[in-house]
Amino acid sequence: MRKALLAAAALLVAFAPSARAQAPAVPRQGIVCTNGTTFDLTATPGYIETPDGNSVLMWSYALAGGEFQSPGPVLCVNEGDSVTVHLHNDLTEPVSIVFPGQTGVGGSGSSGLLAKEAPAGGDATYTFTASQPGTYVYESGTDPEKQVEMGLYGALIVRPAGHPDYAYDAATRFDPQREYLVLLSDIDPDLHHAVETGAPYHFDQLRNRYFAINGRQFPDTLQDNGVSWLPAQPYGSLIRVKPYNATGNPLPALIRMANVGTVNHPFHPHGNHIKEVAQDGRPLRTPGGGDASSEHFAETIGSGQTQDYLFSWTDQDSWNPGSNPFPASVASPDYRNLTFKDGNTWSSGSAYLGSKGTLPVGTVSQNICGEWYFPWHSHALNEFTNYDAGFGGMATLLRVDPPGGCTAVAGTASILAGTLNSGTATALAAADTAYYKVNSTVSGTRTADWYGGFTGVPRGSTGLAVTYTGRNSIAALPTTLWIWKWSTSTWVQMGAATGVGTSDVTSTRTPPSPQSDYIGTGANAGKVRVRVLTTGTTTNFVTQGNLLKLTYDAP
Amino acid sequence: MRRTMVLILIAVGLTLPASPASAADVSIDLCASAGTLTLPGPVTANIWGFALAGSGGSCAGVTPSVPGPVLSVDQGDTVSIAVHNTLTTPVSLEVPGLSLGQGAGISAPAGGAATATFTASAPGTYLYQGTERQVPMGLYGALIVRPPTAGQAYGSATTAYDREALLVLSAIDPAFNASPATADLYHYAPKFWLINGKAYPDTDLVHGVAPGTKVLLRYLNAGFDNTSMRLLGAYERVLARDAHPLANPFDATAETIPAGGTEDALVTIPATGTRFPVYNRQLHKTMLTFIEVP
Ligand SMILES: [Cu+2]
Repeated sequence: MRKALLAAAALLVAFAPSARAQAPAVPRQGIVCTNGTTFDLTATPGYIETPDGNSVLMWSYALAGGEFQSPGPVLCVNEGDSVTVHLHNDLTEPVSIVFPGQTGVGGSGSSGLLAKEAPAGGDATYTFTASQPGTYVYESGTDPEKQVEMGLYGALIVRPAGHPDYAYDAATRFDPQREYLVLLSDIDPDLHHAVETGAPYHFDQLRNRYFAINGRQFPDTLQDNGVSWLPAQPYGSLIRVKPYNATGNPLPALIRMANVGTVNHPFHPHGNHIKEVAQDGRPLRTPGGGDASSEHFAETIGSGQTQDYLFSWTDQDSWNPGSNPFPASVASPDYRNLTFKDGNTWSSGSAYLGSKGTLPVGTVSQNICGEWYFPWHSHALNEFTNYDAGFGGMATLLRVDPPGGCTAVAGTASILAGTLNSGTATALAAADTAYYKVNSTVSGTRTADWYGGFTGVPRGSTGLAVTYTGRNSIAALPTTLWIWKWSTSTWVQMGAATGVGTSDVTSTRTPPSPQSDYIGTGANAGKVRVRVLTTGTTTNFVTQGNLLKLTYDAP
Repeated sequence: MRRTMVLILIAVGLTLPASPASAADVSIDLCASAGTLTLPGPVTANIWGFALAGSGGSCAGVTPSVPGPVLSVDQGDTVSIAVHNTLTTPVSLEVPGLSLGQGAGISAPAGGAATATFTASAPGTYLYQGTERQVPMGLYGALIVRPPTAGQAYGSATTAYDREALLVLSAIDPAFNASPATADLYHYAPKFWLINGKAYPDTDLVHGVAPGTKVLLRYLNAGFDNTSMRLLGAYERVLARDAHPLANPFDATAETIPAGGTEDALVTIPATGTRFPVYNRQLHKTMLTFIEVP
């Protein structure tokens, strides 16, 4: 899907470089904006895949020249833009687009009940000025009981002029790296099958069986944007945050929620309250212009409605194995709290954020490094299913990453030059009194050269950083840190040498880009190796490693 | 002072603000009678509806309607509503949100009559209705209590309007209405979705507006489910729910009116656009009307 989108963008750019919609560089998670002021959409049929193995005929708006996708592309414009949407109709009946929340929508096409229409095989155009920022939907205004049910909908985002990091105003500033769309929809596959086979379409027999967020059903909702095995459903909805911190992480995430389904959905975000700041693209204010936002742990979002939420996750307990241990008198969080299906769990098994505990035998852990997960889902439990089989449907997960990212400590140690003095890799797990000691070589320029091995680093991790704490038996010796580059089977030096003497010195290093070169694949999947090289004297010495740690942001 | 009630013809669907009046005794005589409603198809559904009684409370020759007649009184009025029941089953009258002082409601026995007397203590948009199976049969209507200041929905000047339109939302399942006493509610499945008792294209348009006109939409949900109404091309400022003004009115384009609830929303007609659809966003397409310029 990602390739197809980029190809479409290239085509559009070649056609009219100035204003046509730009397909985005797709982030793994978070909102995927199609930016522009002029958009070419095609109403077209296609199929989505559901987690239970079904495939369902949908109608949707696709970027002209691009692949079918459900929902339609997220159209992102700026406040004040003159927006033009061209609609070409590849369906066999007239189709249209309405833009709730926009005033003065003009354009051309054949006249229809709610909007100008594109006849079968024909075109229509819509123009409007995006006069106010907000989260909006666009959807069919033609025979809605069939066409909206069939999937003709998408989201429209209007960003405040000059402030893409505001939802509306300074009070709604958010972390642009944490902007999420949560577009709710529901599907009656029998009605879609009727359209597919030309059977009579009885909307009054509606019975929804599939419930989606951003066009996918749980657990597909957790997959990255643009995964190859969901070619028609490019948008994931895993919500990721780090704990609120007044200095390090002060800004909230922005959750842009919209309901394009046929029924109201009671949405239940676990973890912390969410703060509703706007509805239908208008901020909630007091008559005097003050803040009228409100906090919720459950909120019904009506059919056709949009709601914007700011979300910060605060660690209320801050359990820490050293300074604030989890009370021994209280049962630890139980893995069964988060077992969804087939023995799979996202639980870390630990009360400490960023630590992994022991999970029962037979449990398949989806946990990377002790991050926490909370379900965000429709509390209408029939909607928490895929064709009545739970859990599924209108659900995703909130993922709270450890504040410093994922942390791994060296689990193995191997000597390249020198001999083992004492200790094992276990000594490298913490800066404490235990050391992993390596004797230098004993002739010529003395050298102690060894590396620590890390495992379980997911492919696609970023922000790799190495921390080494150690000392030597004699005064300051130049010490360099290296990382193994799997693609060339060579060591790559990270930064300049540090002089390390007889007391502990801590060095932090980041490897040069691209960091994917340093995470093993195939038989070495998830492996990272970091080398500590101490040399430059003709006196025998002992290198004493205390801590060898890797931090990274998991994908 | 004794006045007769002010009747708004719902066929018009839109009125100018009424003039204020001081508190008075208001007497209203309603008939609860059986009739029919012609729906698209055409389908003729059996209904029970309220109608204004003739002189002396006579129900001879009256035609019940769905919804019933719009009742409009002034805040502070002492209101007496007599229900003359021509049906062969008892009929109740309730006005959720107003204290009738006689329990939840009154009940007129088959062929008999009962009177509810209450004070219209607070302004707002209220449903008056029967109970249980009487409601899907059509025994409901709008009661408007007007504040002392003419042209306002409530006491605050921010609720001033130029025009008002009632949108009584409901649904009808002709199969249920064919045998209301015995129909299995498990199979209740409406086929017709109505505004003021009519399905599009027969619904009443809201005319007589121009850019800047403030149109008060009084939504009343007499149907069986929570109903989301979409407005296109304009915003509505939600002023009140269930006849209670909101501390923080807000702007919306898709509002859910709970079953049994009412909502007041003010649409200021924008400078551009001449036709503003108001429709059921849950895709029941006959629940549709338009606000139109002029
Ligand atoms: Cu829940």
